[in-house]
Amino acid sequence: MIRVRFTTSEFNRETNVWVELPIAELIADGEEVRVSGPRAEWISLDIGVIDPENRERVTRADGAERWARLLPFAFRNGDIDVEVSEVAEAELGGVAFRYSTAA
Amino acid sequence: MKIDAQIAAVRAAQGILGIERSMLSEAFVGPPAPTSSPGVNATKRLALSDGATVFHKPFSGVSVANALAFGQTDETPPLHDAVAWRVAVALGEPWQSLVSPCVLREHDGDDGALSLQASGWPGDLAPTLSPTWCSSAAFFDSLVAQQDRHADNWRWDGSRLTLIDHGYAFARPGDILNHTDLLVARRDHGATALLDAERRALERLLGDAGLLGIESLLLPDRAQALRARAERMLARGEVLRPGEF
Repeated sequence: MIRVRFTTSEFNRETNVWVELPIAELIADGEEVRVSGPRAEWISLDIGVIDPENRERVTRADGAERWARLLPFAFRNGDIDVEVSEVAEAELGGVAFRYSTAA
Repeated sequence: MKIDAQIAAVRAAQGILGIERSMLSEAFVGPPAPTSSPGVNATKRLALSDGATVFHKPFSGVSVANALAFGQTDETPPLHDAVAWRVAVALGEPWQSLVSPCVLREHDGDDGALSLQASGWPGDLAPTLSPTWCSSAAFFDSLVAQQDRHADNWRWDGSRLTLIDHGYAFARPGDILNHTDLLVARRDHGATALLDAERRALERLLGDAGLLGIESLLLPDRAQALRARAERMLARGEVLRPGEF
């Protein structure tokens, strides 16, 4: 199971500190994909990604987990931070809570 | 670097607009935003003293495997970010307002492309729904041979479209295409024919021996491909087909 966290940051000019803001969390489990979070609609599930290993264009239909692992290559301008991790079912317990209070 | 001459030419060209002068002169405030995905171009989010948020894509941080997969080199993505903006400036409106401003500037000793954050949000397909919104962008993407224009590589704020991330542009014939969604949308709307302003812009570009200064900013084969695309578009009176670089 692959978890992809999408976040952005906002600079607080009073404290000179960046504040992380959650956008969405995508779970690819086998062939199934779930997206949740305060800005889940920002994440297009129709993006194809070029696999740098073999120049192959990979879409969700080619395998949700493979596609999810490649998603950082679709977000390159720095506006959206993309973190990919492999997770077990038991680790997903806090996911909904994490995003439930986000702006 | 193999693109030293092109970098020098961009540096000589930039700074003519107020927004460029601000991006070149305003001090960086605070540290870069922490990132969890440094592997893709090592782009840093930074704050400028005038309140702007910018993104610094260093030449030293290009994801080489990904760049090579697109037919780019290990150096061209930051250069192409800056050159795409120079093309928009050379063409004038409406394209200048459509592209996120970008200059070459050092941050923390690393040279790279510094792009201004665009207003709006990603992932919105609204610009594809009407030729009014997608036409100018489709013309631009066709001309600069954009290889990866999907809904997360533009921003939409409900009334304004801004194109971001031109690292994978100025492709050559045979190079790979991932997305060109705005060009596809324009063609799907049956609006392939060039508008008068587009025809005039191409005539102005081709009427200048140095492509309005753009030729010197690109590697020779990519400048030649740009010229050839402009000539084809003008000869046919249409935007190009997706992947026709």
